[in-house]
Amino acid sequence: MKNKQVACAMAQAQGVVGNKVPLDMEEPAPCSGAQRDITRLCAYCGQLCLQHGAETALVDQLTTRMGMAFGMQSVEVAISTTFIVVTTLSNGVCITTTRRSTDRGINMHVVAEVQKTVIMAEHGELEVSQVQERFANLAPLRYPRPVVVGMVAASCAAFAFLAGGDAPALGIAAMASGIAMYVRIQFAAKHFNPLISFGVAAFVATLVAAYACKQGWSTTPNIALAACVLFLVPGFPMVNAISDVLKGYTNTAIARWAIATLLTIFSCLGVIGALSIVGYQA
Amino acid sequence: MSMESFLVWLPSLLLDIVVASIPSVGFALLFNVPQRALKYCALLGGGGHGLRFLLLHLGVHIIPASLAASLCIGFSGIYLARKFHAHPKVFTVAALIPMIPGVLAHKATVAMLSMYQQGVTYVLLERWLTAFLDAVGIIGVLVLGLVLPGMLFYRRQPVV
Repeated sequence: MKNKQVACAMAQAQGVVGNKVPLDMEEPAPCSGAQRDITRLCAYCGQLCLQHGAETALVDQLTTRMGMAFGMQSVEVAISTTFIVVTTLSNGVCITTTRRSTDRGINMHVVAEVQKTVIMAEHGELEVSQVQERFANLAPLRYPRPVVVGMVAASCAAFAFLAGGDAPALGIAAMASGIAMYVRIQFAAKHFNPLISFGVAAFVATLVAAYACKQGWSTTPNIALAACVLFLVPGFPMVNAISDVLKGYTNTAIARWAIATLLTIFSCLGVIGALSIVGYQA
Repeated sequence: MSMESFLVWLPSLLLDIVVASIPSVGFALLFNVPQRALKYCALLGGGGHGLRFLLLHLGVHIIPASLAASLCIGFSGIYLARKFHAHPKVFTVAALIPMIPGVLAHKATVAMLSMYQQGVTYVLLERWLTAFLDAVGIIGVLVLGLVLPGMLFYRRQPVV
């Protein structure tokens, strides 16, 4: 028994794939390389989804489906906001593995690609090695920064239009949000906490917009001030929090809700700080 | 609403749909939605906001109107998800953004600041509370409408 454990540990340490090491024993190895590879794939699949802003039900589901697609008898997943634990069962042997999950920002491209891979694996179109290859070659999509800044500025102008702002208000909202979005991207690139970059972005946007409104160009200054910070709405954490709590994943829901609330509070603090400095009376 | 008044509203409705699709695409870029899904985000965002615009002008209160629009986005999201084998949230969350009551939330923030600076008065308190409650109510039904379709019709199996 002890021999077998040692052999297995050695196999794991050397990263040997398949039942190659304990050839001299009568019984099969307690942990097969194939099951280990599949477990790692499941864990990586869940980790990718969790890091890129998928709701917990989807993380759970995709991880389980990935394991079942490759013939595991059962896959159990435990999910928290900072880690994911996966246990697979095959031929009476369990393998459990834990992965740390650091927030990589919302990226629907990664989630969509992982889902496509899982569906292809379920249809038997992919082998384990092909899935590994797909995951290894998965480069998260990032839109070019100038495009994002430009579209955010246009979005805030559109918000101002929808709220009934006049033409100068549209211009002010576009300018202020464009500058603030640039600041937010710079802060995110320097790995600042999202809470801080949101607060600073709200501060910058409101500062620019309030100065512009003080010049008296626009007859609807309040709409310009409101629209220029709307790109900071934490839409995804909020929607994911409600989805999670409705589907029974209360712990991750509370965490996501806390993050969404804190992001909003920090944005509000940025707005209040800038308004107090400029001394703008709404 | 008679046919004539509808024809009067039609240009502003179309303008509303076009303008509302801009923030949907903007947020879709922030969420790194795949490129081929961007047009559906624009379509759902514009359509949802346009539906709410129409309902508001038919005299529906903003909360049921928002719920109807977000339910519409939610169902369309499930249709698109089944068609393209991607999770509905890839399409729907960005489409929801134009309907977020940002101006109300901002009004509440400014009222809070005024209460802090000038002291609490009945007028300021009322302004803060009405804006705050309206904003929370609208956001609540928007998110609920997005989540409900999947929960009602895909209880035992995944959407894709």
